Amino acid sequence: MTEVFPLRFRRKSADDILFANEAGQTFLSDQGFLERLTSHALSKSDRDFLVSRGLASESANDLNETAFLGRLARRQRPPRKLSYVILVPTLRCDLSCSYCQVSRAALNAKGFDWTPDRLAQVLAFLDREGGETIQVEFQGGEPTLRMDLILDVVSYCRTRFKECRFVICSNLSKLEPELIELLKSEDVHLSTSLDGPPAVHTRQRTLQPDLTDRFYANLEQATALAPGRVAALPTLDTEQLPDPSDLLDAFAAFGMRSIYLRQVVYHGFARKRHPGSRDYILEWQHFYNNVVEEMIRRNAQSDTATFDEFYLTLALRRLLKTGEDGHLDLRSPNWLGHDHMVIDYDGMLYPTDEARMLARTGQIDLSIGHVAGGIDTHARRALQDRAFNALDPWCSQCVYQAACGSDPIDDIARTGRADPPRIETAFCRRHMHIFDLATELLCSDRPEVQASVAKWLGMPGSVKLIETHHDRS
Amino acid sequence: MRIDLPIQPKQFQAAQDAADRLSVIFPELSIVVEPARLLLSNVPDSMVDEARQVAKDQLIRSRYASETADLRVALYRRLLG
Repeated sequence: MTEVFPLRFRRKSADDILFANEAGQTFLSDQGFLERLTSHALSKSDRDFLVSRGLASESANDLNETAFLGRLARRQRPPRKLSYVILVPTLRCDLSCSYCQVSRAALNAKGFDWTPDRLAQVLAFLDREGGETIQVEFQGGEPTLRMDLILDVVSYCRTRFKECRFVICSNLSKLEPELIELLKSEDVHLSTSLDGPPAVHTRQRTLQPDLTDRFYANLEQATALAPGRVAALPTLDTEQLPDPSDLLDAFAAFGMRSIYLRQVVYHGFARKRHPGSRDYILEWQHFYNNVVEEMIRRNAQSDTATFDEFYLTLALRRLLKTGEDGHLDLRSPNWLGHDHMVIDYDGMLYPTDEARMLARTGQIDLSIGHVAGGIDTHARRALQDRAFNALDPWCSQCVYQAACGSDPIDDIARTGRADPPRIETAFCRRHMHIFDLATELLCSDRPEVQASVAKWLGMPGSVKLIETHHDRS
Repeated sequence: MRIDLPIQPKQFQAAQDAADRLSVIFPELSIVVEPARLLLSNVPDSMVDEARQVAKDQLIRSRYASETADLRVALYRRLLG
């Protein structure tokens, strides 16, 4: 007897319905198949298709079932040792962006930097909790205000870990000699913010054209010093979105073609000054689609330079592959406070940067310990209840569940609850939009779309990656 | 307008699940399950077609999820040993 591994479906149009199972195997079919599947009246053609693609078994413990369970197991990654840490050596910053997510401290404020004792505690914590490799992301505030602390951490990690990668998140208002020297190392990367053309960057960030000019000069110098190791993220205000072409030009001017399109994040100062950022709105979706379309158009005109949207590429990979679970915003189970952690300026430990922001703004304390006393395993365990989307009553009926993730901290930030109906959350709206777009692109017959998708997935040529099944008998 | 979707007696529990979910999806509509039907009321003319399709799909989804729940549990049990 043919036993179909439970499927979920989503209507893409009147005739096309997307199906997927919990292991992430996906295909397109039609209303007829949906009716036959759910009324236990599959045709021979249906059964042949499902069995031949490993979507159904013909007897318990057969090869298809073992393969299905293998795929399912690879989607349920167990927790790992700490391998990604965000360090905040200082909360002070020399800019005051209206959408600052972390409620930074003033440039001359006292008591917002690590002390020598705190530094020693941080290094001891990394030694105790870390595995063999580590990625250290320095954030703030503006972390380069304390290059001495950055250099101490870098020096320590290079001796303690087999592999290190350092990311310095800087507003690049200055490019001091110590940072210039550090950027020459291949294991050091720089991440900054580039909101688009100079006028947009000035309006949103520096407020003064001469500061924008200085930032542009510093970014140019940094990209020359560390080619391929400098990334920039735009923070986009949904009420004043730039022209997609202007935005891509602004990045291309620095040789950057991989862009992570982000709305203002509803945290910190942004909650008061950008209340519109609370929801995932239609205008943003149109803008996002238009930028992707412009990327596809440009990619079709160039064999070498490929524009891509970071998160869309991640979504495509998650739809098609298991094991693409390094990004904290998009994975399930999302083991909070295990392989990824934030150490704040005061030594407090948080599972994510967003949790740090919620604590900073006094909304809720989601800290999971302190570098001096170690991880509070009870507090950490309490965060895991919503970390599995497979257990969510809405996600467990969603066609994208295997590829999607879970972000209870974002839910708390926006709704004040960890358990809102998933379908009502900004997280769900955002990911439905992105996965809908990703599957639309995967199913597209347009050669220029297929060419871009192949480039984004690192494939040599266009391949139809989502199969279609119709019973023609 | 009203949308009236017939249900079989054995589908009552799945229809109740569908109604609960549809009430979240369409909070402005009145949605009830009666012995032989799922009834959506106060549906604006402009959204009748969409609401009908979403409700039909949700009924199928809830029924199918209920029917395959044991299989899903069994598969996880085999996975976890």
